Amino acid sequence: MGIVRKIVHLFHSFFLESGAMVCLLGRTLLDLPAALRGMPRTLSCMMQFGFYTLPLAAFIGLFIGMVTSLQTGLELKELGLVEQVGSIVGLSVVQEMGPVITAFIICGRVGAAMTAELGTMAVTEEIDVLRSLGISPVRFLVVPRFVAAVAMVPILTVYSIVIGVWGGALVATSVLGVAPDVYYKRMFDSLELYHVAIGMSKTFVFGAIIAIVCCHTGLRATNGVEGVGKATMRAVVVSLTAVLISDFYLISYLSDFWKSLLG
Amino acid sequence: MEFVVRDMHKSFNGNHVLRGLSLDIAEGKITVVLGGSGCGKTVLLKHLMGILKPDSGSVQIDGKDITHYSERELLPIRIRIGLIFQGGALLNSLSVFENCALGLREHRLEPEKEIRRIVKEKLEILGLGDRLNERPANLSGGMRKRVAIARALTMNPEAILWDEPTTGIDPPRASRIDNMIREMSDRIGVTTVVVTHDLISAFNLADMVYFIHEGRIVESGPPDEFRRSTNEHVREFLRRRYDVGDER
Repeated sequence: MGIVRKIVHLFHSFFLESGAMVCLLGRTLLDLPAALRGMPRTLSCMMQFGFYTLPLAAFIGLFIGMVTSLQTGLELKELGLVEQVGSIVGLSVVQEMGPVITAFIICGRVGAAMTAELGTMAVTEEIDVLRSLGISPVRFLVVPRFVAAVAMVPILTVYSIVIGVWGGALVATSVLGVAPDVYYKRMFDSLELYHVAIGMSKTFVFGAIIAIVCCHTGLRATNGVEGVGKATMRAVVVSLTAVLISDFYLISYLSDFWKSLLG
Repeated sequence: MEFVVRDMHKSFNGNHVLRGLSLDIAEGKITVVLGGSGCGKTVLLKHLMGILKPDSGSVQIDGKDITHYSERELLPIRIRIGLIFQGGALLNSLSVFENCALGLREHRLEPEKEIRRIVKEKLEILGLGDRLNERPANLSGGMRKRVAIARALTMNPEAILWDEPTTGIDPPRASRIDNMIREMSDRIGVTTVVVTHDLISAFNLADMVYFIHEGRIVESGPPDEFRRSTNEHVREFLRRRYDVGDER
């Protein structure tokens, strides 16, 4: 009986939380024009999310490219196809690794900070203060973060992809003995516009997911510092899971859509 | 601004905090709410602002039932009410000036130059005119509370809800805050609700005193009448408080 009750409770919480997040998304979209009025806040969030994440995105992007290039290159070398390493690195980094790993970085670095900040504000009554002043917490806190995340995830992804492709080239030329012009030629030959479109269109959705999940979890934090810690952990786990699940469905739907449009 | 609360119930995770609380807050008067810690005084204030919704019962402001108002509908009402939180609850990411200017700026109630003048004036009254650019983290508890008071005053509210206004503030300043509350009520006719443990302050200020015990109002009346209450919980509260005062 206890297990059944727990499962029912789990499903109940899942649908309740998902519904609340959809509502928050709706309210955020309705309040989007407020982002223009609160431009300094939005720009400050963009700086925090984007600019300060550049070194980490570069570092991780570099190693994604290098690892992909090395792992596939060594296998391809045995098959005598090492010159194809450029096309594999290009396709995997542009379409999949770049967007997903960048979203992961932002979940861990920016999403966690977002939840911790809003969670602390919730437990110290700062959110209540905003409401008591007739200021909507969604408009004041969520909209700038949402806009910043949706704008900065694609930019960071492009940055990470460029560094990743360069990292792949570094390994391909220095370890695998592939000439740089061959590496880049193979890559651009295999890459179609719709590959780029699939990879980039996902990043907007990832940005929105991270912002909504992390803001929602932060705003609902209770029970002091301990509650903020738990909310932060939950936000990172839920947003990472949501990014992965949405990635699966986005690949299925976006591939057909962009192929029919650009393919 | 007149508040009427009727048969209000509120629970948090099974903890029944308010159990059928009813009270009337008269326009332009100072109403003091007394009660032990955790009896639901702050919860009551948040219901008066519509920040919390009761499980049952109602809150009326100027004859309008706001119990089921949406956030959007509550906005014009909240602008007319100032709530001063117990710990100040300043936004840590903003400076003292920005905290005080927040309401005026967000609602675009005044031009920026005028906002600067109003905020400076209020902060100077509260002895914080030289702390405009300070971050809340660098202020003492009492200073933070005074900034919160200035923040509420900048909006020129018709009603002010004070949550423990003199707790953590030194006696001379506490006395000045009492005078300020009395002056605003007498001069501008601001409706005032004060939730406090400070009995000296309570009896100096109150036009009407309510006492909450176990989520209900168990005693009410003007200060002189309240002092003579025969209710055992009130007697115990008054005796214990005065005992502590004597020891000091």
